[in-house]
Formats: sequence, C-alpha cells, structure tokens
Amino acid sequence: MIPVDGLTLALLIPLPVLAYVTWALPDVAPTSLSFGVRVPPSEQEAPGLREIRRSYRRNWLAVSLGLLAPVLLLFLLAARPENLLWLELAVVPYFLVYFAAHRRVRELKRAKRWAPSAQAIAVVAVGDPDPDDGMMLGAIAPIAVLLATLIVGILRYAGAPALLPVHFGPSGTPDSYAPKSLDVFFIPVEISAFVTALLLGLTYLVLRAPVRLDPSSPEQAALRSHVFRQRMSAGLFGLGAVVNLVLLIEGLAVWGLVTPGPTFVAVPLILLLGYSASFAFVAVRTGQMGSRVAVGEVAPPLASRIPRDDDRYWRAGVFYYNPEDPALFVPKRVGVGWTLNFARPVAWVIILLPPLFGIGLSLAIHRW
Amino acid sequence: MIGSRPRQRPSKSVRSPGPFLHVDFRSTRPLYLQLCDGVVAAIGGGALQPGTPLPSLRRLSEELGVNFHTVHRAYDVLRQDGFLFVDRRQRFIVQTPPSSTEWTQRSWDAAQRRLLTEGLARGIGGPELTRRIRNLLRELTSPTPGGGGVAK
Repeated sequence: MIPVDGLTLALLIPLPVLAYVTWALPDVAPTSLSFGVRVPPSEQEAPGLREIRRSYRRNWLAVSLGLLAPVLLLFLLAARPENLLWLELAVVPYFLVYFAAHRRVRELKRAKRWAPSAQAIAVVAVGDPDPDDGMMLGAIAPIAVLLATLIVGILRYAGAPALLPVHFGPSGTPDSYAPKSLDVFFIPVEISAFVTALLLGLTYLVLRAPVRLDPSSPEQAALRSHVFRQRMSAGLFGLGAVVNLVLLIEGLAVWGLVTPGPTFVAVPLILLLGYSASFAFVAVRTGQMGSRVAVGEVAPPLASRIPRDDDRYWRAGVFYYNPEDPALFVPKRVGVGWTLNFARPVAWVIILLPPLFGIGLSLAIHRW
Repeated sequence: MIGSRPRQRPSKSVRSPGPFLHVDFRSTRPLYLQLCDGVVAAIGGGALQPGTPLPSLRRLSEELGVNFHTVHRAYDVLRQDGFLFVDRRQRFIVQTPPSSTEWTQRSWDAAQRRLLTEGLARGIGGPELTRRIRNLLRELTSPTPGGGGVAK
C-alpha cells in the first residue's frame, strides 16, 4: 500500500463528516418536521414515523458499509489526491436514502390525515425589533487576519524576489512564475478581502433571515433560535478567519517567506476541512434553528397550534419555490441553516454568483 | 437518539423574547385584522408599552410568511386608530391612543353592541354575559407569557 500523506488524509475528512451529518438528519429537525414533511409534533413518536426513522438508519448503515467502505479502500490503494475529489459523489446514495424516507412520510401523512382541526399558525416576537445587534462584532476575527496579511505584504514588498511563484502543483512545488508587480504581489490580500466581504455580507443576511418560530411553543423557539443565530454567525466569522489564515499562508509562499513542500499543501486543507468538520459537529448538536438547545420548560407546548402546511412549496422536501412568500431566505427543512426561495429572482443571482466569480478569477489568473 | 433531545445545557445569554403576534391561516378573519387584534391585545394587556418600536414591515412579513402589503395594511389601520405612530426613522412606534374621541367611542360602542346582541341572540343570558366579560377582562389584563395576539 502506498504511504498515505497528509493531503490524502485531509481529502478523506469530508466522507466521515458526510456520514455523520446524514446519520444525524432525523435528530436535527424541529418536532414539526420529519424528513422534510410537516407532521404534527404530537405524532413524532407515533409507530409509523418511528419505523421510518429506524429504516432510514438501516439504509444509512447499508450505504456506509456496503458502498463507501470498498470505495474508500479502492481510493486508498490508488492514492492519487486528485482522484479523491470523486468522493463528493458519495452525496448521491445518501440523498437517495433520505428521499426514500421522505416519500414514506408523505404517504403516511396522506393516509393518516393528521390534525384536521388544529390552527395553522405563524408567530413572530414583537417586543425586541432588533434581537441580533452585537452578533456582527465577530467580524473582528476575519478582519484581523486580513489586516495581518496586508501588513506582512507591505513590509515584505521591497525585499521579495523579482520572480514570484503564482501557482503550485499537487506536491507543493511552484510550476508557474510571474514578474513582481503590485497586482501580482497582492493577489492573496485581494482574495482575502473579497472572501471577508462575502462572508460579512452573508452573515448580515443570515442574521436577518426569518426563523419561523414553532407556534406550539414560541417562547422556547425564540430562545433557541437566538442561540442558533449566535452560533451560526460565530461559525461563519470563524470560517472567514480560517480562510484568511490559509490565504496568509499562501501569501507567505508567494512572497518567498516559506519554502513550499507537501506539508505546505496539506496544512491549509487540514485547517479548512478540520474547521468545517467541527462546524458540522456544532451545527448537529445545536439542531435546526436551535431545536436541540435546552432552554427549560418556559411553557407547555400547545398541541392545537401547528405551523401552516407548506409541503406543496417544497420539491423533494429540499427546494423551496413559493411566490407568495416574501422571504428570500427560509429555514431549511432538511439539515441545518437556511435555503433560498427560488421564486425570488435574487435567489438565482446568489446561486450563480460564486461559479461566475470562480470562472472570472481563473481567467484573471491565466492572464497574468 | 430522538428521545434524547435536547441534550445541551441551557444558554445563559438570552433575553426574554417578548410578546408574540400570531396569525391563523385557517381562520376566516382577514390576516391584517388578526394582526391588528394581536397588537391591540398586547397594548391592552400591557405586554407592549408605549414607545416600543414594532418590527419592520419587511421583518414581520418575512417571519410570518405573509404578503408585505398585508402587514402594511395592518400597521396603517393601527396608525389611523392611534395605536401606532411613525417616527423620523420610519419605524412604527406603540402609543396609547389619544384619549377617546367621540368617533372612537362611538365605533367601540358599536362593536360592543354587535358582540352583546350576538350573545343574547344565541341565548346567553345577561348574568352569564356579565360573568364572561369579567373573566375575559381578568385574563387580558394579567400578564401571561406569550400573552399577545389571540387570533380566533
């Protein structure tokens, strides 16, 4: 067997993270949802839904052991880091397992006709119009790393070699050089500034996205969603800080302050993937909109109040298209966080922006 | 796993979420009137104090998933009735309505009359009506958690 280096190991991290997140899917959902289908919270422990959850976990186990283990072994034996990118396809079998459960819950719901007399309620807290003031303070972390990169760059500019390495191969050795100019020299700082601006904008939007409180216990839901937003904004700013740190390391290599090698390629990847894995762990433990955060018994839940049945706007329980909903971001039904309302044209702009930016960036780099 | 949720220690740094407004999508009462009812009930019960800014139109409509114009209409009715005013930053601020003018008294009396005559028509006698009104008044003026909009 070929010795496994840090890079290969780093590229393997997403797989256990994916397995962990998909295993936890039924646990992170709020009580009014089961596999992306609205159900009355009082029915969560009904035998039908329990059986669907059990069978989801059985199928999960079958996918994890039967499909992924051999694939993993194969990739390890033929360890070429580039090949490992194919592991992203592992999302497909896990999605199919989820989708089977989603369909079974939908059928069960049709057969049972749950809670026909309950009120279909939406709730909003009105006492505190700006509940998330102060959470943007976390922006200090990515901005501090960005400033550090800028300062190192400015101090180094005069002493840097005349020919700068601008691209590195898989083993970390430079394979492309460019003559020193302000433009080329400060590329890491420019990307870092762009990433910081992007994450700041995203966090700003996330903090203003609706949380859609559970009407059966709005007090608990409001307290939980507050904790959820705190952790989400902190997590996004932390991500910004880690990405900027990676760009600082790249900068050090471009500016001739460190000599790139295999470790140089592995460290940023381990940083990024390690951070994403911990973020996923915290997200799962927090639950969607804080559904797993203990806030104590504020008031007993009211079984007669359930959220409006909006199943028809959710394709496969995952994609949201509702022209009557004014919100651009809405809480996801499966997993943790928010998703876009694709009936808003801005949603498509947001979806298409990152790929367009990626293409633009690679064109710009090739020009140099 | 399901039975074990929630698992975490309570967080300390949380504020009271304040009064809640609800709308019931299965009710026959128009949504904007349900919103008006909720705000008026929260002011009447003391949960919303004069000077409190209400959430922006955008936030309220996105959180409830109802049309922007529905919320705007509700705020506008409340402003006309004197329960809200708009400050220089275009925020809607709670206020105690300027003490009852002849018009508001007349319309309040008319609403009262409509409810009481319906009660009488349904065969609820005078003493029973008085008892119910007294109970309701007690319920509305005692601050309960989440006591706000009762949309029915």
